[in-house]
Amino acid sequence: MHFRSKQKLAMKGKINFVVFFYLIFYFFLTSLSLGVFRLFKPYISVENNTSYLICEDKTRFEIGPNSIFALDNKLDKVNDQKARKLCQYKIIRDYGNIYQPVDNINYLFYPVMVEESSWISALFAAVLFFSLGALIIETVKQTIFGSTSLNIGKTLKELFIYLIS
Amino acid sequence: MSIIGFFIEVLFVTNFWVLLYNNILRWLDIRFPTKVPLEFIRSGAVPEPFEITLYLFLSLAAVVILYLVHSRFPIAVNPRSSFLKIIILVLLSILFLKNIGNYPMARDHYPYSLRNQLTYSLYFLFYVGINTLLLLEFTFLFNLSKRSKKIFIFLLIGLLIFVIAIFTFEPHFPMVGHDYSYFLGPIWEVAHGKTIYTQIPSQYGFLSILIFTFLYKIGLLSYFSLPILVWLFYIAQYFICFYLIYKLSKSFFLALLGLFSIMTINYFSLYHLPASIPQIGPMRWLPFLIGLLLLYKIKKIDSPKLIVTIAFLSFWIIDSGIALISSYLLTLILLKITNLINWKKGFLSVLILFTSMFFIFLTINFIHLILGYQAINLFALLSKLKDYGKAGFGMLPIDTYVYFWIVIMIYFASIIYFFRTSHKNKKPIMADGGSGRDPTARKVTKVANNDYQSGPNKYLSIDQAPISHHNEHWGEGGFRQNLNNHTSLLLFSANISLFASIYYVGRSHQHNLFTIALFPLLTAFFLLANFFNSLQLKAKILVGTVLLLTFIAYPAFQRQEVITEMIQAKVNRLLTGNVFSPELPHILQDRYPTEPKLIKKHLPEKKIVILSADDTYLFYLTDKENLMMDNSQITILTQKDMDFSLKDVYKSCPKKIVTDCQLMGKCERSNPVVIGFFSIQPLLLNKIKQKCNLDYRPVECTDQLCISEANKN
Repeated sequence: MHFRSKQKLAMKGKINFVVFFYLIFYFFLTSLSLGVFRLFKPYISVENNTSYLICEDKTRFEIGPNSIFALDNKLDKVNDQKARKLCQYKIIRDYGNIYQPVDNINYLFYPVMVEESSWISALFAAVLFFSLGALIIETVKQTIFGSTSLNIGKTLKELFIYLIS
Repeated sequence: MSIIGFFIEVLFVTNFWVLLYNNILRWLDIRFPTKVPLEFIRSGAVPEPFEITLYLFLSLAAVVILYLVHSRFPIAVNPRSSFLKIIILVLLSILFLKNIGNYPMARDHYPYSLRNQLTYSLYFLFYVGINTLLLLEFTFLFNLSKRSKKIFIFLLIGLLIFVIAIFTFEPHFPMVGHDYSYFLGPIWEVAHGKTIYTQIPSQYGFLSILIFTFLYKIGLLSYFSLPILVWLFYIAQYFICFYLIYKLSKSFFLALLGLFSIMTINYFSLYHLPASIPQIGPMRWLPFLIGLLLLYKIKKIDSPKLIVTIAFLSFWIIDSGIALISSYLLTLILLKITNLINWKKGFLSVLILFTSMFFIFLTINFIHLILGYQAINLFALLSKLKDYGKAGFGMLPIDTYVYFWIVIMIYFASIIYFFRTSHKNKKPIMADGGSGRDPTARKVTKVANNDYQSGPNKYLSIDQAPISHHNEHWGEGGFRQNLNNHTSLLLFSANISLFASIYYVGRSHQHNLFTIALFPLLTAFFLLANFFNSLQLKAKILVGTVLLLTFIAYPAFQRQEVITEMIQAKVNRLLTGNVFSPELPHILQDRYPTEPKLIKKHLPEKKIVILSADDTYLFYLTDKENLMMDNSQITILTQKDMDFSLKDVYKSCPKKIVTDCQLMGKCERSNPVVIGFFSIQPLLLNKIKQKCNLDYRPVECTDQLCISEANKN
């Protein structure tokens, strides 16, 4: 009787540890998965291959193929210099900085904005991240605690098998 | 197995793969920016060190993970669909549709000028109408002839081959001078005593060049009849596709649907007459199809006959040969890990393959030496592959949202199907190794029979197709053999699709998607073949209609502009009469009416230098030999290539050479047949002038060429 209650207590303690373990790690995992969701949510970006410049002399250049890259609808300092040189001297890749850019802006920038990613991609990435994280957590849990009655991994595995069967 | 579960798994793996591929590739490109190689003479080298490597790595990693998942957790039969499953399937499908983006070159009329919409619509309706009519007509005739004598079936097959021939016939056999020179140039050089690769670089062909040269030398092939061969190859290619789908599905209707779908996407969606560019069609793909056909016929993946043929075919064109060998090896590995063949057989197959390749190469070299040629330089054999594959010449970056992900989806669908059914294949194959004489055969077949009859899972499994039907053709032992054969064929086709698609991953122009579409489509129809015939008539009609709309009507609608132009071009060419006469000799005759005589008059010697974009064709017209090492000169990409090509010219420093009139400033613009994006001839002339310390001045010119004579500087 005494032995049984001791065993019961030990089991209860183990379960408490598992609950604690789960609470901590799954909390982190859920937070990180939400982070991944945010990371993959739709965003507007510049399509460098089709965005273009019109120089003062009306010459048109696509920026990407001419080694000019934009992150938003304005060119940063480095790429602005490249654009000025392109319009002024019709050169790209002035590695030695031999050509001096003109003082005034000699072009108009026409960025082509495109939407990258989607809400469903974000959801998928977050679910994937959560699943992979859960796989790691469950492997660690199995190594530390062995088999327990509380087993989220098993439930997740069964759900996965159910979905693909 | 449940079809919903199957699709959930396929879409999950594909979407996961696409997510990883796009993001890892972006990260690698930012983290390890590549430097543009400086050895190339002209621009166009954009190294993509990660695209192909990552594509192969992720695909193979996914195959390993799928194997581990399926071997540890065999998927139980659960045909019930639930609301949750349907929701997940819909979400995964939406994500996949987002990933594939827009149809490649949808409603694009490039390179033709725009016509009115009514013309396009009429041609679209005409094209889809003809396809539907032929589909129904042939199916009806087949059903009629099944009850008649065998001769009617042969007549029907003959009629089908005739239809394929009509569809793919391009009157007057148009040739893009630039692309045909990659074949005709080396053929001319080898026919005149040079050794391929050692003395004359070849962009695509190896054994193909040697065989064409042999046929040319013995008079079976004239110089300009290569496009006729390409046409015959097209007929063979599409007929093999039809034949294999028919043999796997036993459905004439599905095979026809497969044939017309493949032709719509792989042939009619191109913006040029397909046979006019030889390297994109059967010249590249036919060896793979012969491999598949032979595997179907021999029915044993480890058959020495099959292996030796694959080894032989791998020399046809170097890059597709590598893809063929890789596909075969991966098929062997997958059959081994699922225990469908044993270690001994697998190892022996690999050994036979490499030994055969070694001996074939040795034999080719031996024949060369006997005929007085030099031996083939093994390292030079891979030089063009290095220029294009490693240094990235002509490479184009892959898009994030692209229909190519469908190719990946079909690949994973085949692999998942294979892993899901491989345990069913295992028992019978292990029992007798496919001979069909094992005493346990009856028992095993009975199990499969029961599976079919009692199980509610009537989808997708090979062994669930009507048993009586298989027995009718192969008998019980044959049924087991057939199981293995279908699986091996599906697997081999899927692996071919994986490796042949590298062509697109490297040069990711949307147009190339149509070029590589052949094997993914064939694999998709192999998959469909496994369950189509087990459907009820109503379900067959429904599936057939969906397939017709998806693989014929929709692609034809999206490419109606080029389909219109292609049909128009074919009709216009037909109306000019004498349709079997290749047009290029006449074009050359018009372009160079007096030049051959002029060249012969001024340059009586046998070996000469012709600095013209049309060098390939001018050597033929003048019956002269080339003092340079390249024919055509378009294959010269680097400074090293240029020096190699001119090494004999530097030695003899010819007194007179033939030059393009533009080079000598004697014409504003010459009009060669070969239109390139870059003219190498000015650089070649400068090199010769520099090394020989000579200056060339024109002595006699036409409006195309000049005969130029050397003066000491």
